[in-house]
Parts: sequence; C-alpha cells; structure tokens
Amino acid sequence: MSYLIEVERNLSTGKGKLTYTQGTVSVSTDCWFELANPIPARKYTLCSATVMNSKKNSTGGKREGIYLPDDQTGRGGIFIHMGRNSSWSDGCIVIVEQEMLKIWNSINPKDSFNVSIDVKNK
Amino acid sequence: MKRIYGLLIIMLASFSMPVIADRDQQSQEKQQDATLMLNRLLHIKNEKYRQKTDDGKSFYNSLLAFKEWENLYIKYSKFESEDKKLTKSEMKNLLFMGYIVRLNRNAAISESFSSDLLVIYNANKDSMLSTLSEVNFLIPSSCHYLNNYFGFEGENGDKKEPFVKDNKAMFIKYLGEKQSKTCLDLFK
Repeated sequence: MSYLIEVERNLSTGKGKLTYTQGTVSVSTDCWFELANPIPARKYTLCSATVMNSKKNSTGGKREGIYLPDDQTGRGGIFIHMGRNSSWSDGCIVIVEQEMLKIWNSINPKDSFNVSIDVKNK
Repeated sequence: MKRIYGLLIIMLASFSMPVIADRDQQSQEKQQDATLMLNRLLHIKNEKYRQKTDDGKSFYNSLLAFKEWENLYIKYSKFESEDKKLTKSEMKNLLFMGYIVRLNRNAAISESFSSDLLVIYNANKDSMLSTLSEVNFLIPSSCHYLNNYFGFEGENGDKKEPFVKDNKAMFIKYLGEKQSKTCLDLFK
C-alpha cells in the first residue's frame, strides 16, 4: 500500500496547505515551514511514517513524524511533524498535532518507504 | 606458596578482566562515536545503509542513518535522563555535534538542540562555558541554539532578556570580551 501527501506552499508567507486522503481519512489543513531555506518543490518518494526519538509529543511520547530522505531534500532530518506555527520548525514542515496523528495512524506499516510527498509552490 | 600466588593471580585477573573489558568497550564506543561525527561532518555515507527496494532498486536508507545520528544526540544530551549533568567529555561531544548539525543544517536535530541546549546549559554552566573557552569554534553554533530556545515552539520568548541579564557577566568571565560578544550578539 502506498500513500500520498500533498503540500502547497506560499513562499512569501511561510504558510501552506497540506492535504491527504486515504480511505475514510481525509485531511486538509494549514501547514508551516521555515521561510529562510525551504526544501525544493518536487515529489519526494520513499518517505516513511516514523517516530522522532529526540522530540516529544503533547502526551510526552515520542513525536510522530513523516521522514523525507536526505538525498532528495538536499538537507538532513526533514520531517512533517506536529507544530502550531513556523516557530516549531528549523526546516521541517509542521501541522497541528491532531491532523498529524490522523495521517500518521493511517499509514502502515511504519518505517517502510511507502509514502510520497508532493511539494508544490503556489 | 606457589599455589597461593597462582590463586592470587587468578583472583586478580578475574577481578580486573571485566574492568579491562569494560574499558575496551568504552574506548571502542568512543571511537565509533568519533567516526560517526567525522563522517557526518564530511558527508561520508555509511555503506551499511545501502539497501534495495522490493522491486530491486538500490537506495540509501537515510532514515536509519538519521536514527543512528539521533541516538548519538540522545546519548550525549542525556535526553532520556532527568539529571542533565554532563561530563566535560560529554559536553565537548555534544557541542561538537551541535556544530556539525548547524553546519549541515540537519532540521530535526537542530530543533532538538533548540529545545534542549539551554536546559543543559542551566545544569552545566561552568562545564559548557569552559568548553567554549577552550574550543572557540563551538561558540557560534552553541550560542545560536541557546538563543533559539527563546520563542522556539512558541515558548519562553519573554525569558530571553532576563537570561542575558543574569548570564552576561559569566559569559564575559569565561569567554572574555571578544568571544562573549560573538555569543551575546546572537541574542539580539
């Protein structure tokens, strides 16, 4: 099973829209990113739902994230993860935790390179 | 008498062998950590993470490589521990990691440093500042993360000014006028 997340960014505001549909799960939510050095707009393949062991979620557990491969982003450690605005990002794309969990829970198995993320600019 | 000496030697060896084995293991671990840091610094990929997809295409599993790097951060930052007291060696390794992460712009680990380094500073002021005074090139990256704490994830933005006020004298004491300015300018 493969999964697709779409991100449409506005490079003048640091804000965008993230959409995802899989079965009964449908997400369309605001997202934020670091304006200073955004990752290139392109389709990223072999991404994975995983946990970030060095960051916590709101319940104190390991933070859920979707990892984008370094050799495609040209950066290290780029994730989609929880966050309420761009102050949560040093390069990652962030969305509110509730929406993040809907996506994360619907992707199975984890750590399996079964996610594509299509990043476009407005 | 010979038998007693023999027994003593066996006893001493059995006591000291686990210590030697433990030291060997620690030394090996330190070497592995140093190799990982240098590889990260120099963008050298560890070929053990080269894998094949289900349809046979070769790819580099940078997720596993990331997790190895993240584990090193967890180890040196004592992320899982309530007690954030670091040894001088742990402090040097952690701040060197921070330097590499800043240089290579590793987003997730940079976010971890932004959340955690000020907390670590508060538990290790002497150790962190004396490390920075010994290894000056670690000042810009370390001070970047210390400053980033204020306002990161929308928290503690109002605590920056009191922090600078309370710590400025200590920064100057350890780093001197010029190097402390390099650091404190990043808080503006």
